[in-house]
Amino acid sequence: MKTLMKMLLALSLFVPAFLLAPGDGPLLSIAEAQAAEATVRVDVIRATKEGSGADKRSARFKSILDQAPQYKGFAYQEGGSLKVPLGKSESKDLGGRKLTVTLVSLDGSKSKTEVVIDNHKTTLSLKNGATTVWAIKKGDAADLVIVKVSY
Amino acid sequence: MTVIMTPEERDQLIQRYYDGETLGNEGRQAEALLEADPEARQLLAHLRTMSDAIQTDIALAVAEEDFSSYWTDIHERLPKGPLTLETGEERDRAFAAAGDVVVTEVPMAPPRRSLWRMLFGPGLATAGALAVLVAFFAPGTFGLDASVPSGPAIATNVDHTVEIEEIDSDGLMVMVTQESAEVPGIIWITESEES
Repeated sequence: MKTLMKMLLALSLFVPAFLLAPGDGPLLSIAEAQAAEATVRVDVIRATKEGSGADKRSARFKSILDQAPQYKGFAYQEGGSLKVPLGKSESKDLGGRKLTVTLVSLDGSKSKTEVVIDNHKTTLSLKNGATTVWAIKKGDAADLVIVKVSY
Repeated sequence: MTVIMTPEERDQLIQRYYDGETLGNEGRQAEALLEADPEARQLLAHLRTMSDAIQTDIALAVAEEDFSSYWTDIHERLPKGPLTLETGEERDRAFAAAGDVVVTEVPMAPPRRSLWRMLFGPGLATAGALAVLVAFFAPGTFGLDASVPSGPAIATNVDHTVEIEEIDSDGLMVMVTQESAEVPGIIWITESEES
C-alpha cells in the first residue's frame, strides 16, 4: 500500500513534467497544450540602390540589411501580426504585398507553415521563433519581407 | 684520623659496609673501626650469620615445596570453554538477579510510520530529481525556450530553425541564403519588371 502511494506520487510529479517538456521527441509542448495556433509577425522594408542609410525602424534589422550590400537605402514600409489557428489561413496586405500564412501542422517542436507573398509560395518547416526573410527584387529596388513564426 | 661517632652511626656504617654501599672513604673508616672496635666486629659477624641463615631457610623451603601439581591446579580453577552465563559464577549471579525481574508479555504491533514521512520520503525525492532533470535537459521547458530570439525578428540560434521544403514561385530567379547564427535564412526572388 505504501509502495503504491509512493509510486503514484512520483508518477503524478514526473509525468506532467515529462509531457510538458517541449523538446524534440514525443513530448507535448506547452504551446500545444495551451493553444494550437501560431503568431506570425511580418515586417516589410523597401531597399533601394539610390537611397542612403536606414530609417529608425529599419535599423532594428541591421543584421539583415547587411546581407543586401547592393542596396544603400532602407525604408520601413509596414508591419503587422497574424494569429493563425492550426489548419487555417490568414491574410494581410502589408507594404503593397499580399501575405497569406497557413499553419499546416504543429507537432510541438516544429510547425509546417505555408507562406504566400503575392504569387510566391514557400512551404517551410519552422521551429518556434524561427525567422525567414524574403528579398523580392524588382528593378532597382527590393522588398525585404521578414516573417517570424512563434507558437 | 680518628672519627668520633655515636653507636647508632657506627651500626649504620657497619651495615652499609656489609651491604657494599659505603661512599667515599667510608670503606676505610669502616675497616679502621672494625680493627679498633670489638662491638663493630661483633655486629658485622652477626649480620653475616643472619644472612646465611635466611638463605639456608629459603633454599630448604624451595627444596621441600612440591610443584608437581602447580599448573594442574591452575588449569582446574580456570572456567571450561568461553565464559558465558551458561557456566560458572556468572551464571549463578545472572540467575540470582533474574529472580528480581518481573516479565510481562506485551503484544507487539508493527512499527508505525508517519504519513508525512511516507509522502515526503524517497519517493518524492526521486520524483523531484526526475522533474529537475527533465526541466534542464528538455529544450524550452518552463519558459526557458532558447529558440525565441530576443531581438526583433532575428533568429540567433545556430541550430537550423528553418527548413525550406518547397518554393513555388514564378520569379525569374530564386536563391536561398542559408541561415547562420547572426542572420536568418534569406530567400532571394527576382521578379520580372512586368509582374
